[in-house]
Amino acid sequence: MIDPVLAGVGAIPVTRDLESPLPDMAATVAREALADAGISADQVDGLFVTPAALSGEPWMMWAAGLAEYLGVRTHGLMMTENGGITALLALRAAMDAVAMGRVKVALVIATDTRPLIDTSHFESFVRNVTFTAMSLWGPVEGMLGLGAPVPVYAMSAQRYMHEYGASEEDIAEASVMLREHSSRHPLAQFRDRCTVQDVLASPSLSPPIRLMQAAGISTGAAAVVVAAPEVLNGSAADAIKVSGWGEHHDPSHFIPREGPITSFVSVHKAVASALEQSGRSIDDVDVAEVYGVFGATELMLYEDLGFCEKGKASAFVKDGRSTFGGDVVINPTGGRISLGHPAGATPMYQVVEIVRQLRGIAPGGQAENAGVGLVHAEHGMLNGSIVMVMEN
Amino acid sequence: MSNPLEEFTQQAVKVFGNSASKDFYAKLGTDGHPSATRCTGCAKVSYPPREHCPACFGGEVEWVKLPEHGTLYAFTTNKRGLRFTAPSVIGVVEFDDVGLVIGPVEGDRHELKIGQKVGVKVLDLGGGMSYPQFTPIEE
Repeated sequence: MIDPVLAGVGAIPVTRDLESPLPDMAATVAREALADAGISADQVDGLFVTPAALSGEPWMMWAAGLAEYLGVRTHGLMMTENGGITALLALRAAMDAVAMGRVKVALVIATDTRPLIDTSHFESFVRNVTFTAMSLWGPVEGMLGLGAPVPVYAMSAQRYMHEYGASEEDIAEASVMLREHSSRHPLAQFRDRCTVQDVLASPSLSPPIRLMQAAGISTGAAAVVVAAPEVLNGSAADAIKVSGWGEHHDPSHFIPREGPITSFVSVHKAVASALEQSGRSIDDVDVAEVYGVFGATELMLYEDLGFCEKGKASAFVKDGRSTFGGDVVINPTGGRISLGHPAGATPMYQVVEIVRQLRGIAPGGQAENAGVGLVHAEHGMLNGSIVMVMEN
Repeated sequence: MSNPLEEFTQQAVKVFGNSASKDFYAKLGTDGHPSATRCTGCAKVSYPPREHCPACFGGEVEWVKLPEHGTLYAFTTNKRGLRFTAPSVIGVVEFDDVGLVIGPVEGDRHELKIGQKVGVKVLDLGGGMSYPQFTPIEE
């Protein structure tokens, strides 16, 4: 088996709307990642992609179409999809192909944009909403007509406040820290600093979730070059190793059928596997990018990953232990709530950030002496998680 | 198309449904109470129902009614619900031997409390469709 490395990365700023065509976004980040790796396009022999847009318009055979548009000849071509972990599935497929020796240089490209929702044609709008809800939530719960899973995360947040005695102010601390981080980050969609009062004054979505505690509706693209070490030309010092990979998928889609909804088995199991494989403990982690799509979820993740005790995350944040100069820098990009959340590409942005942190060239805030990084992504309502440990 | 919501919902149930979900809706209309499936081998109860057992992978299941009462576990407002605009409250209810079930809740969100007892009603959605709704019970 060959140990693949992350040789180069690229990402464009996260925006609300599509500002350039998706193939151009993909080509831009691909060129940036290859230049970063010091690898030429004719060395690419694998292309692993997310769907063009996770919840947007269908784009048939995007992988083959993109291979033609980019002009890459491969003997490994794949598109992956499973909600929030989509981009990491493409990355894992690329790493496996390199590890098996089938591919030497894999280009992994993740893109996403918001769906175009036309409400002017009532019938097509209703068809789109009912079919989407039924396909996403299944034939029984699909009848509820839920689109984005905001209400289920809201119930998780309510239950967390109930079980651990957390106040709305406590939960708002997460957004304040994340906006502080994103205020320095050139890729972030939301960069204005905020206070607890600002968060609590923002519009209510599903109580207790407010707008400034929710991930944005976003467009973005990011790419990573996965390579066999033998192809690197003196740039090996900048290559980042993936020393641990943990993955667990519980057989529940959104609501864990047997509870709890405030602590997640997928996170516990994925982080334990990733740390065990890397021979690290959670205390070794200097910088982390975690997939908190709402304020309370962000805090629950800090606890479930083991950065702090259960029920204590808001104090952990308030005491400055999750930011620059603290125990660990969590979400230096501003996280999903402030970087923005092009879901299909989100975990690729997380990987790009941790690679740059471990190289000491983070474009926003830089974690001091970062040697061990962690990425966490999830699907459903944390029913499935992937955790990566990365090292320089 | 007289009522696009009804027609597209029925189409969507056909496209994305399974045999257990089809029986679920048929039984809901005649029984006036939602049902789950129970494995005849290991007794695991599944809701939403399915044709096989997810615990032991046995292929024999039987229909059992959800308990009459459950406990409200969490709730919120579903603002942009296409169908359940009033009531707009959505909740998770814990039923003994079943687990957590999600669905619409009757009443004002401000008067609901975690831990309170709820019963189950069946709402007529029109077009021959029905759906279970949780209803607070005074104790």
